[in-house]
Amino acid sequence: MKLKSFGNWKILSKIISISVVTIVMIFAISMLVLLPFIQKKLMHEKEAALNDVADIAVTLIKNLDERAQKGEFTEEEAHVRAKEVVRGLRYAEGEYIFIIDQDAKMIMHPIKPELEGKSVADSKDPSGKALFVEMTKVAKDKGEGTVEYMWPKPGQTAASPKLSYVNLYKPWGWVVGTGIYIDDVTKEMNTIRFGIIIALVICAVVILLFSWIVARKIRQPLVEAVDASNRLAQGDLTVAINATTCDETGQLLGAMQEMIDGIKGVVNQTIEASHQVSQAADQISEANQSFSQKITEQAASVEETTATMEEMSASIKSTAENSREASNLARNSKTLADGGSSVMEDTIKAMDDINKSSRKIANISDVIEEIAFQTNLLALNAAVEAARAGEHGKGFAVVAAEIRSLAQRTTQSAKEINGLIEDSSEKTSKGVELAQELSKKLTEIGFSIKKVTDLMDEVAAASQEQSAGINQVNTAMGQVDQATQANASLVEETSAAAEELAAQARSLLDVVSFFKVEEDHHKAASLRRSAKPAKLASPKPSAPRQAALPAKSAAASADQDDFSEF
Amino acid sequence: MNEFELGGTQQRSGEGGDNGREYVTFSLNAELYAFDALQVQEIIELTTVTKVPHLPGHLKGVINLRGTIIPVIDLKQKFGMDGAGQYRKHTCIIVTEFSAGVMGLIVDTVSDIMNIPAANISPPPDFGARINTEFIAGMAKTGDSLVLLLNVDRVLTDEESSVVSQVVEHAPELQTNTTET
Repeated sequence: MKLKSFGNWKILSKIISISVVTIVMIFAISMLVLLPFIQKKLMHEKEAALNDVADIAVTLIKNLDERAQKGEFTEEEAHVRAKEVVRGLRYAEGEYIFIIDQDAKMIMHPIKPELEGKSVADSKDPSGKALFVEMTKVAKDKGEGTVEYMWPKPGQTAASPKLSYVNLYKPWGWVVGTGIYIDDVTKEMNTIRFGIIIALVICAVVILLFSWIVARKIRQPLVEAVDASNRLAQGDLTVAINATTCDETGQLLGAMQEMIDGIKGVVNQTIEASHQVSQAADQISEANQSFSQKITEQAASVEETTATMEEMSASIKSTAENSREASNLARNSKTLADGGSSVMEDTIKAMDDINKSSRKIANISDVIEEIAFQTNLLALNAAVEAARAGEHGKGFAVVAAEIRSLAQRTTQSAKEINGLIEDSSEKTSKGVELAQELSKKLTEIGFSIKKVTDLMDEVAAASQEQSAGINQVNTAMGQVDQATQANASLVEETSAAAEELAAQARSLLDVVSFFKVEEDHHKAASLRRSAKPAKLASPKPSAPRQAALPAKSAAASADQDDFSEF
Repeated sequence: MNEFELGGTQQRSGEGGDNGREYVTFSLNAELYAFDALQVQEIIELTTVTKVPHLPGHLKGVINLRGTIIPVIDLKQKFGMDGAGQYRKHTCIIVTEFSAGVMGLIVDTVSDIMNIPAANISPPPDFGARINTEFIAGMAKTGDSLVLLLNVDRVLTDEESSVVSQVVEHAPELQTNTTET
């Protein structure tokens, strides 16, 4: 089996691996560093103790040597005394001190005195080490030092490991040595090692258990999250995650639940929005249809309007011509009326002349009448005179009477003339009045005709303007027609776009229906079904769907289907 | 204008009649009156009458007739008839001679000079003592109509006579204060 890279390890393995590594490290450190250190320390202590013992012996020898130097005794005496003193020295459990010279000749040995005076250079331990030669070498090289070797314990033949310390006393060329068995050190070391191993094993077990528990604690929510995520990935939004803890994993689970809730909300909204979009698209389609109808009607009415406008244009043109003709006629009438007016003025003038003449005649007639009156008076006076004259005046009275009758006839005639003239004057003035009235009327007629002419001109101008306006209207109607056609094409485009929109909404619903929002599968299915009603053979409005879309009625859904087919 | 009609229908019967007297007939509001022709001095047109202060209403003033100052009265006013003071074109003044002097009488028109025989003249009617009829000399029948013959001396009372005499006396002192009639 191929080993996975660390990154791909499971969290349990990872966490336990930490523990394992720690344990191994501790073990290694204990075994490789701590134990040798302890051993070294123990050995060092032994060495120090040996050193002290060797120093004591050397000090004793030195003391004797100094006394010999002072002359208390001879040097040989000193040698003997030193040998005896050192021979009797014992420490620990019967450990001893021996002395050899630099040529590995035994000078003094308290346990094996038979060796004294003999060279022990050939003496070797069971492993073949020439221990005394080694000692002299150390003493010669460093002055003092340790030598390890095997030596049988007192009373035993089997060799045991032994550590000896040698110290050189130069004046005499003696090498003072002492040794102790170090097998107890090894025993102690074994005891310590065993204890450490036991403790480490217990620790390792505890650590591993704890780390396994911790790892499990960490792993469990993660597994839950993974599971939930997998379900999410499959579109299942019904996942319910229970966050039991407040740590990061718990927060992760809580966040995931929130995320799921959020997604659920979004999906629900999306579904709703898709439905609404679908409905809206259907409504747009409906509106477009009616709009299209309206546009068709509009186009028809535009055509009608255009035709009517053309008719109107023709009639306005004829109106303009007629009004121009009428204006001309009115102008002619005005000329005639003006002529009549001037004739009337002439008539009035003539009448005035007649009146003047009549007045003159009347004046003359008055004069005649006056004269007749005077004549009458004269005749009367003459008659009176004649009466007073009596018989003589009779003939005169006759003449006076004749004159009076003449005067009376003259008066009568004058009166008749006056009457006639008055009559004629009356009639003339009446005629003048009538003529003036007629003239006035003619003037009024002239004014009226002028007004008529002006009005006719205005009518002609207005007709022209109307004609221009109608032309503009025709142009505008053409534009309206174009706009209507453009509208129609736009409506078609809008219809297509609405259908496209509906299709998009349906596909959106299809996409969104990937998400399982409700526990009830039936609802989800109905949602999916309502999302694509066009594909259904019979649009049965189902109760769940009504529940999902409470605003939408069955009729509306039928309409939607119709539109989908449309 | 009746005078002409009347004039036209006059009868010249007095020409050869016995004891017939000439009378000047005139009209006041279409009533026909007459004076004795001998008492009539002249018939003139109505001319400017100079007003004299403090005179009774019917005394209109004075006129200058060829240098002679003559007082003038309105006969219709004097008789209390309607239309007094309304003068027309052919209103005339009859200048009469009577006992107190000469006086002008304003009449509507002078109709004619008539010869009326005494047989055609009746005495004035008696309306009783209370009604004064003494200024009527008689009533003359001319055809179907009646003409009242007036006595000039009686028509003008003493008052007027005195005025006439005063006017005649003081006439030269009067200033000509003419007004349009």
